[in-house]
Amino acid sequence: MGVTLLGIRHHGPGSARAVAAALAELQPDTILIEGPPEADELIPMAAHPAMRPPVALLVYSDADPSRAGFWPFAEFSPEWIAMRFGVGAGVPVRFIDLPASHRFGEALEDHEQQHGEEAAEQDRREDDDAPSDGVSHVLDHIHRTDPIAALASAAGYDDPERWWEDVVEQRADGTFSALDSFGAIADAMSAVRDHAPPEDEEREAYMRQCIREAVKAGHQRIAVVCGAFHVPALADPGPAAPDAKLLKELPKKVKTTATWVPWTHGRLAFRSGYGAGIESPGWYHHLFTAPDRVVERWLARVAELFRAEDLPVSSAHLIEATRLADTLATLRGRTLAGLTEVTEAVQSVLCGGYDTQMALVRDKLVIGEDLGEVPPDVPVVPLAADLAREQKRLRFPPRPGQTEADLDLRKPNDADKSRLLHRLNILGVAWGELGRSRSTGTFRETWVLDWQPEFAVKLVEAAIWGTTVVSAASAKAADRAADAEQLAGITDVVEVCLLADLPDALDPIMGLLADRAAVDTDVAHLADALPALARTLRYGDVRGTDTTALRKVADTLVVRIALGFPHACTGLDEDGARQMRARMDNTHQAVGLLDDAEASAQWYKAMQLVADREGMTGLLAGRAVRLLYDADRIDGEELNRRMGLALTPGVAPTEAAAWLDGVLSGGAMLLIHDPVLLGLLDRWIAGIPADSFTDVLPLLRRTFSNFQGPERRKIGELARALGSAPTARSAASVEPPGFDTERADRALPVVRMLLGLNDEGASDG
Amino acid sequence: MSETTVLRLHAEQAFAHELEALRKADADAGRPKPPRWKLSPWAVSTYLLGGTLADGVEITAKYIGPRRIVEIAIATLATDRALLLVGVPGTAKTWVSEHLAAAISGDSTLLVQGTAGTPEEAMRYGWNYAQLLAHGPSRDALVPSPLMRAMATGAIARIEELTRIPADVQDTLITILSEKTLPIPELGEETQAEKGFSVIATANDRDKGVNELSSALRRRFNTVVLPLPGTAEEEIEIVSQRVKSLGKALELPEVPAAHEEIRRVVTVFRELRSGLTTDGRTKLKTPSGTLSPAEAISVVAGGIALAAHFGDGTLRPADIAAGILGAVVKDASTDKLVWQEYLETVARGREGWGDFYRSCREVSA
Repeated sequence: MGVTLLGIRHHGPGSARAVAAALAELQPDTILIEGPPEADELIPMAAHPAMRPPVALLVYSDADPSRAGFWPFAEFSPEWIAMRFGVGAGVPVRFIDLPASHRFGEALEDHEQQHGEEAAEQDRREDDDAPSDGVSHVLDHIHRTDPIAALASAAGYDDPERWWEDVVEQRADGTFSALDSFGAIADAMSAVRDHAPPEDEEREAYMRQCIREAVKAGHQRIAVVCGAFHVPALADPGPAAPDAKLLKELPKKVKTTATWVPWTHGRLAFRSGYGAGIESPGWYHHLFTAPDRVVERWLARVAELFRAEDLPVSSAHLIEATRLADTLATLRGRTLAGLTEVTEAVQSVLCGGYDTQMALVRDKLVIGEDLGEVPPDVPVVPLAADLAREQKRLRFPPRPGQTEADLDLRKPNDADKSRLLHRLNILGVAWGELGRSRSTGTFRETWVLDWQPEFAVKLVEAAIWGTTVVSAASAKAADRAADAEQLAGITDVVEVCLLADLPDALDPIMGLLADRAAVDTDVAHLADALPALARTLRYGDVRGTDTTALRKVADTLVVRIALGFPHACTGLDEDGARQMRARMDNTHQAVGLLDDAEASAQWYKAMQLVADREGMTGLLAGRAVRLLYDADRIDGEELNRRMGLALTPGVAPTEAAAWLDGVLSGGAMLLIHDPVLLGLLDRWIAGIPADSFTDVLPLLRRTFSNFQGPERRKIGELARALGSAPTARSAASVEPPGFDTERADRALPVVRMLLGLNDEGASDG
Repeated sequence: MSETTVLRLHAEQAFAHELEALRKADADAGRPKPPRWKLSPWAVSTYLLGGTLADGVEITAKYIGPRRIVEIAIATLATDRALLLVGVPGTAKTWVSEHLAAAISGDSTLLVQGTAGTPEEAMRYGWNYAQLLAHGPSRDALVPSPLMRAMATGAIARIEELTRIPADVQDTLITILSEKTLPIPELGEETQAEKGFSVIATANDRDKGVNELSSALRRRFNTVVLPLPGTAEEEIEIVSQRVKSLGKALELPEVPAAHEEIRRVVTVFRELRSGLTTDGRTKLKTPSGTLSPAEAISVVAGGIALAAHFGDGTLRPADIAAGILGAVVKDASTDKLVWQEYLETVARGREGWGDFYRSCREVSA
């Protein structure tokens, strides 16, 4: 009978070579591969010229795309080789693993991790008690997930692939038959299985059923490529009835969709937390592609890498490293040097014994950053297809590893890239992370880009929101705004929408915002919402987005705030007053950004009220006076008057001190440049009764401690010079101490000349 | 031979029986040996890492640490490359180099001690001036350095503290290591290294003001960094074992196994070294000293001497308090603060550390 079982090591380059040789020898008329049957139709794509591994098959449940499984393939995966061979030879190729759709129907905790069945992250997070996650289970599992590694370690090899090469491929007599070697592997597996508890019975039953089907269909030479561990179970299918019975009990299938997605070497690596991963995809790739002299070629690549980083490496280094690696292997009783020996030799000879540079080797070579490619005509969810189109249009392909992108928003292409990234962020596809604070640069954005293969799942999940990136992001943003509990939550969404340029989303959100602002009676909420709006309006200018609707909302928001503000400022305790002062400052800044005459007028009117109202919290009244003064709404004389009023003996010293804090915080220039104010302050402090002085002192200290050191020194100097001078002198006559009039006069002629005032200067010179 | 009066025996003397047993095991198994090696590489690694031979002879572990390090060291010497052992003080660099030389060449005495004043003669050869004046330059008038003797006999030469040797003297090694020859221009002759010759150098990467190796010289060495012990258990094992053998050599009276105190010293050292308590909860200041296993060994050995001669014959916290203070406080001003903080924040509250805390307080007060 014509069933040949090829027991392989998943992601094993040695297995891959053997499978290629065996298939060439066998010339099968059908090939069955351990993999998800849902993806059968996608197999021919493996031979597509634009398909470049590492890639993965993604199978997800239509009803709940977060329930998904990945089957990754690298160039050196035996399954990949078998697929390409079959497609190339024109023979039917089928996947024979238990359909993933059964598993998606199962309860989550029943979720056994196998090779390939690498459930999406979401799945794993819920799946807390998945046995393969526990370190203690690793040893139990290695027999099942990687029995060839178990055999190798029993033979004293820590690099299973080198063991394979040594034992399976390099026969003493120089002959090698891939088919014979698979026979030997099958025998060994029978021994391994004797000690392993039965597991995966359903999967193996399904595989047997598939083999029976293929036999029935009249195929003569059937090649079955499956994990070595399963080989003994498939060797003799026996009667079909028990298998059929077992499979009947499976949970119902759910509807699924399958597609190809690009994968990365980093994801293949153990490091990323996938139990069935391999530690060194880059090394395996090297083993698979290097025609000969594996160690020497690897060391040459290491040298190239180091030289590119300006680390000197000579050929003599490589000679010595090769010798050391070989000697180490001999010392350990291994015929061939494995990755361990090569790595140790590199560290000892090239890196002076230290492991700092070794991290470079690990990331760039042992794991090897590589992102696969999938042909554009692979069936994908419309959303992912749209993203691919956008990436192509903007010449903005995803790359493996972290990269930085500096976008100049004045360039149309860059602006589009920025929009795309913002939109993807709304959809939960965090491809780019915006660096730096947005308050500094308004036309530049620096993004840190890091494409993760799991984004394929995120895109499938996000597909419920729409078929294009724009429409999906709009829908999701609108949904987020509707769910927002506070007004500020909505305005945050508005800001994001503007950054992402989602005008369609903006309209309903604006309506929502206007409605909510109208009914929200809490001025604090309104005030919290304003700054984000003001910022976005400013951004709109740079990005060329239409912000008229937004401006209308913002202006009405200012009016609402202005009306409610004076009332909100009364009856506050100290903490409340401090929070309100922050709101006052933020709103004031926002109003300044909005730069709308009417809104500003409203706001200043409110400030005037706050400043005037009797019984107003001192801190806020003082702050209002200061803001008005800064905005030139009251002049210096008025300020003096108000200060005089606030600092009269009739006002409680603590209240007066709070008022002062409001006026003075955020800059001492006022005091330095207005000697009258300083004089008032000086007299007030001198007049505070002894018993309340100690109460006021901490408040004053707090106010003054916010000033810069030089400012404080200056005020001190001025206060000393002031003495008890009762009269106000003009600002011009205040000279800093140590000012030498005579020397300054000598510089005047030159200044005159520079300013072109020669007629006066001539008389002097 | 007055073995018993010697303060410290060479490795090949102290472990002569083990070396002999390994030689026999090699012969029985017919393991191949590199030219002029007394033992096979396998036997050398067993000698260093310990194990039980087929005939039941127990080989004690000389180096407790990663197996990989010893294997790289042996593989290096087997490829006729020079070996450079680097590490902070007290990580058994000299210890490993001595035992490697003893196991491979049966002679660990071909030693050049590197100092800032090491002259070129110590690396090449000097002259017996009486001979030189009387008979002119000849081989008889030549005084070979340990290095030259190692070359002539195909043995392992050791250079201690290579980075302390002035750069120009260091460079003498380049020809020796690459050409494997030592020219003697005065005689128009040379000494060519016999097979089996190699150099084990040690260097300290903590000291400041050392003479960094030139890249030409560095290229001729395979470098192995000896790490500080990875786990507390490993370190306790190292300290216990060395204290025991030291005690024997110094003929200290027998003190009952002081496992608990050793554990305590190791804990203190590890916590201060890493700046973190074992439970990972409290951050600590780290003192300026290295706090290596070697220092832990001397603290415990000193404590045992105190306990045996002045105490009640049992190692008590009071016996190690003074030693530990001396080991931690190297710089009077800063380290003292570190130590007091450690005592007050960590040692004070710890269960079973009451005696230790009080003794340390007494000593540091």
